[in-house]
Amino acid sequence: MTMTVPAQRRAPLPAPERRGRTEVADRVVSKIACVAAAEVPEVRDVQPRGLPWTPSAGEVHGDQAVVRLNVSVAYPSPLHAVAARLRQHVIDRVAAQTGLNVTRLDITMTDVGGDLP
Amino acid sequence: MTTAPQAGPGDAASTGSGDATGAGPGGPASATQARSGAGTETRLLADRVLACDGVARLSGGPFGTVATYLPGERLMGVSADEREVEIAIVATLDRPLPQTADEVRAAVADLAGQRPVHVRIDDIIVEGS
Repeated sequence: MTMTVPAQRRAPLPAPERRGRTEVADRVVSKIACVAAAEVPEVRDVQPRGLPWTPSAGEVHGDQAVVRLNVSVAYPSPLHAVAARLRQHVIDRVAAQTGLNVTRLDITMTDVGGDLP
Repeated sequence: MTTAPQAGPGDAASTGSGDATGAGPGGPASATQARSGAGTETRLLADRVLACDGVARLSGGPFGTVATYLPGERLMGVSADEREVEIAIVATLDRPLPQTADEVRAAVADLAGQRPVHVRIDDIIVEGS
């Protein structure tokens, strides 16, 4: 028994600037996240968190990113509110700059103290 | 009935020989061109990429694997073969990185032809630090 299928043509190639993939390195996400976190006014210091031999805050998996940050915060500031604002800001910045979706952002507040800068 | 099969092989033979003669001069010529032009092609690609907005410099990629070995030197950041073109750059933060990548891809589109161009953003330059 024979089956007849309609003639099929190959899907057209995408436009030249869409042909190929764009990769963003972990280091890039890490740097952007650190810069973005430092832009929040209550944050005094930011360190990327990672293993001692790879102090990288970001990991990229496909179009998703995981970021881990250690921050130290000025003393008289509401920590939960600062963390929420920090999270929002960092996620927005990384998404705008790299086009990646931050699915997880861990913030550890390692130090409290000092004046508001 | 008998004329049709005779015409068939005759046509096939003529087209076959036509293809053969067409490919004869074309094949070796393009091969030699590719062989002598391998270095210049990657150099051209590198120049085009460096001229793009938002590209600070070329990078070797992870472990310096994106590179072309030319006689006497090693061109980091660009590697092209017949299947794909790979480019690794260090970008600036002036504008979103996907835009930079798309511009790089558009800049080398005519050199790359049908091959996909993979752009890897290996590092960035932050103004403050």
